Amino acid sequence: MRVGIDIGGTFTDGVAIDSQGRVRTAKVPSTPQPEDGFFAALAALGVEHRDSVAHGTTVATNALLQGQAARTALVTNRGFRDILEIGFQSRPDLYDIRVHRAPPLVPRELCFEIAGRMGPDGSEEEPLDPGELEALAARLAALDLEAVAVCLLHSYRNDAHERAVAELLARRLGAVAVVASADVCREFREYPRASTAVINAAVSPVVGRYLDRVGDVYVMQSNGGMVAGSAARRRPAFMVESGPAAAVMAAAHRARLLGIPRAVALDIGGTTAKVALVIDGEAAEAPELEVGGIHGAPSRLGRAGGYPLRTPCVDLVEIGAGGGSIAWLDSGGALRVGPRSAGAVPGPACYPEGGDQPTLTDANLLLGRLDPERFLGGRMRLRPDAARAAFARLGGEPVALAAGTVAVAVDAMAGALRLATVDKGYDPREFSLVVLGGAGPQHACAIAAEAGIRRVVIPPRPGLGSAQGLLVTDLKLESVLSWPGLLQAAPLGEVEGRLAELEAGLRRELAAQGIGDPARVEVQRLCDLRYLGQSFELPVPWGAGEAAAALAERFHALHERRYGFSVAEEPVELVGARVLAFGRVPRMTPARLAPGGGRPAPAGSRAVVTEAGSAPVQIPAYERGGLGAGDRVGGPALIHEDDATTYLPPGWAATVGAHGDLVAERG
Amino acid sequence: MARSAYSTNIKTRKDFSCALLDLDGRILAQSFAQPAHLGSLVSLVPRALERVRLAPGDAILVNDPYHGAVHLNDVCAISPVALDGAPFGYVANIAHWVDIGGAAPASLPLSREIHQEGVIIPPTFVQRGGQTDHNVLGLILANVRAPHEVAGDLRAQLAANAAGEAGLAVLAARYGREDLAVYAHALLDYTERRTAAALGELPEGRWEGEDSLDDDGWGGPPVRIRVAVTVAGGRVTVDFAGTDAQRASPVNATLAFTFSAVAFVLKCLLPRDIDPNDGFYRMVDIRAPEGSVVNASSPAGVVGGWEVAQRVVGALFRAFAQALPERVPAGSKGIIGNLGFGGAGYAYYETVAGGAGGALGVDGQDGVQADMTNTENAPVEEIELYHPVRVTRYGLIPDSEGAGRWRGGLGVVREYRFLRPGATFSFMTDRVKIPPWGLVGGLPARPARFLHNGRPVPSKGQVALEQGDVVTVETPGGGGYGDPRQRDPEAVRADLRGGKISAERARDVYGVETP
Repeated sequence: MRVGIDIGGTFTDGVAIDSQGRVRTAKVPSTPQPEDGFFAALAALGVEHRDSVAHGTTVATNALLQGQAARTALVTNRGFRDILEIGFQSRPDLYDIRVHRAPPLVPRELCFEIAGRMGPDGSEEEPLDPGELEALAARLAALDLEAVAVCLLHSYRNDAHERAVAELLARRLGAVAVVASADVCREFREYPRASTAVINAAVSPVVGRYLDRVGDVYVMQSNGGMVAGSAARRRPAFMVESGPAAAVMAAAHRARLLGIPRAVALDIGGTTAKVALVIDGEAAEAPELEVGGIHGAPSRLGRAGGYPLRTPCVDLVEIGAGGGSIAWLDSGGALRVGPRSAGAVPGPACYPEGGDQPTLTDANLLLGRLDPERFLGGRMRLRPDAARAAFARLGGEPVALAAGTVAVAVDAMAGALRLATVDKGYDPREFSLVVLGGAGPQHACAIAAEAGIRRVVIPPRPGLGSAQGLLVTDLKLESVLSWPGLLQAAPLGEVEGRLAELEAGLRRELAAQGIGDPARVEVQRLCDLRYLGQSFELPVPWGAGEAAAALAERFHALHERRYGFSVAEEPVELVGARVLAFGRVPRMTPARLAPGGGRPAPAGSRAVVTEAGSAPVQIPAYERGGLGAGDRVGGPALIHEDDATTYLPPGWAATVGAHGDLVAERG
Repeated sequence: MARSAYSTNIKTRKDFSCALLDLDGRILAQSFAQPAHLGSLVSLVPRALERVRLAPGDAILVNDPYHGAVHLNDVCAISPVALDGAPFGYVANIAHWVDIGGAAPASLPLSREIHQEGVIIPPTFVQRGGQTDHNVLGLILANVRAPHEVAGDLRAQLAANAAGEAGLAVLAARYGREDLAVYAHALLDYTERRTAAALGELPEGRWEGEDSLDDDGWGGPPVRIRVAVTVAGGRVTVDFAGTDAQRASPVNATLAFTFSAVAFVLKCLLPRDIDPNDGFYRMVDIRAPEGSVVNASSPAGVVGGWEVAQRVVGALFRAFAQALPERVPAGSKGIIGNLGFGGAGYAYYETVAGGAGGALGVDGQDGVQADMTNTENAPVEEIELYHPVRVTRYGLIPDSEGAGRWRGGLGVVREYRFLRPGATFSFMTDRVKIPPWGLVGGLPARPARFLHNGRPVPSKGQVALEQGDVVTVETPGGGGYGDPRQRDPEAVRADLRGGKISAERARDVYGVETP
């Protein structure tokens, strides 16, 4: 039995799969103490032992966003106490002077400077002062701290000073968590590295206490790889995007299962829509994200005044549009949707205790695309009259406003999809859309049509995407080495030697986390290259013994593919190198669906507005549980299941795959 | 543009803007991450169209500040768009070229006239019928210091225009060319309605404001900018009568730059999602005397126009503060603060943060970019890795804030030690003599200081450096808002705890005694 438990903002989801591929699911409300929801989900699944539980959790993120981070101090070089205060020196909004950066996680009175300096080549330019360090340790000991981060200049190249300081403080301060920046981020650029170390320090006591309560579990990291709880305690900063990464891994799994080389994962929930790319079955990665910026959720869309977190993460584009997004009219008379959301409380107007403002969910209900008796498996009865009244309050014909609301939301989500593809140099027309989240299957076909995508995949149980992703994720560890300099002049043999050491360390770590069998371990080496003077680098696969010329050639080709150009005569710069180690977990493939009769009979029909401005027409409604493999459903149609409703617009037709996926295509 | 350009400045700092315009040169849509360009495309394209006629496959370049550009480094490429064989409008973009020639490598010469600042390009064909004119291109590239990068960026500019035209063709195929034009103009009317509604919420009236630069770099009295703002009938008029005459110096702004500063202030005061298209611009009238520092005539130098634009922002905020004291902040650090250094085989350029002004209910941020610039800092580790210099201090300056009930932000000190002889440090900045102003009883902030081995140097000009020399840049704080004696004592104590202010300042300026 393998179990996945994902704790989201509203619901805690559980999925269990046994060795025959039989699946059990659970959806329970999330609780103020997240472990209560965790155990409730386990109980609902009827699972006893927890040794194979994979967990997606927001505990690290919430600690940061809700001001529950531990009392933390920072130690830096003389002259650099304000590294967190100044940050990138930019403001989150160009025009709004009231929008400020998030206050530093360490207040200025807990930032301390010490003597000692490394040069950019790693040579010592000024020694540490042992007397000063002892005095600092004594001072810190009196400050009632839970954690200390140490970030010294050029420690990515030579961390001798940083390590000496961290070790001394760890000895003197006892139970306090001490984090050296190079241990969590071995890359140059001091502010993001310091910020990463501070985040790791500030959440580690919180995450440690949480893991004490839930017991031994594997934890999903932001990069879409699992680690043992023991490792998650040391590097809690790496699990900030645990849940969203799990959903992308679920989409990646479906893409592999169906043999889709290029997929866009789209996860639409109550408040946001998230888009990620899955190329050849692997989720695209970003090297950095930001937590606590003005957008609220962790983001990779540039600076928004939050805390930079330099850890690899699944590359997501997130926008404020979801089922609960509120529709409103602006001063120019335009219909807008979001970014404000009715959330789960009070929720859309049509909810039993819902709010009085119309939302995207209300719009779908008015258009007939949701069945009021069939929402959440019939556990919640929706109120079409309340939805109609909410739109009427905007001043206009409610059904027309509802159709406009859906069109505006679909356009915004298609815009996010373009950001994730076109902005990165990919053509969305070459992709299939894999859709997850409760509100995803409602809009997926319309979004695909808007972006020029012809094929949409709706996996079984789309509302349990993250929990299902937890069941199909391997362990993944990474070590990074910073080694800036011209590629041609770099001592590649020496770099390879260091990588071999790092690789051995990762193999030992995987063994300690339960993957001792070398046949289940897979290792990749990459070097990070860029054109001289560029600010951002591309990871380039590095085969054993490959020389600079081969790497440069591969870099030019990758650059051409990613950015549309390459310059063969331009010098290539090495920024660093990295080792990735995967520990493969055994897969339990879901049982195959029994074949259907090809042309299933609808369970009923509903009056649905299929074209804006037209009267509703009666269209067939199917129960997803009644469909068999190979069955074909033509649009317009509705397909109901407990956690989502799929709307197939006119011109689309869906076929049921062997593992239960609905694969919709435009005629 | 960002994906195909060649220089870091375009690719990662995104120092460019793109726009779609109709047949009359009215802006239908533009990107607006770069506030200095807000007033530029709107002026450049119509003025260029007065001089040249463009046929399909043509493209012109223009950077002439006396034809609508803000300074020479911002080069605009304009191409016509035809849909289904019929003219539809124009696509245009501005890219900041890393070098445009002129008297100083960091492009920050202490000039007397524009000809010392680089190559002037009036509206000039670089492409006809799809064919690049290599004569013209060669002439331009021969006059810039980084021809390889500039050529790459220029290709990106032409490619971006082609992408814009292709995108419009997709829309035209979907909606039809005529309907597309109807929708585009409906968008302008929508923006006009939103702008008028937002301006209609402001009180009607006329308010005056003033702000000054320390000097023009060649000595002489402060450079004074005066403005009168009139809001009436959902429109706004900005009149610069009384502003000083232009100087034989780099410290002059073209009308386009002044327009950018006006548009920036309006965007700060109006809802942020109002698009800067013609529906917004048509609601704004600007009157600026010709030959003044806010509407300079050829051949005045303009490379210091950034600092003039910052004073335009200041003067406008001071005028609007009388109408909207609850929305306008006290004066920010007030400088763009262009700084550069270089020596044999290296060159470096940056701007350093300072304090933001306090405003009703909120302190100004410490150590932050302000007003018309929002560029990030370069990491110290990156500077040291690529240049023979050590950054020895980078932090907030205690007690540099303009005191107030809501205080201004703290200024920043950044100190560089040079490891090799023969370097030059260039300054093109201000606010050493006239400090950032307070508002509603708030106090001014500590002004800037620029030091060479501990001795003050002027805010504009060059300093020659020897091995081991130290340059210290101390940026201004932000002005305070409201009477400092009314500041929440707990906030004063928090600043004291964090070492942002001294105990003496807590007691003497804020009236808070501490043990």
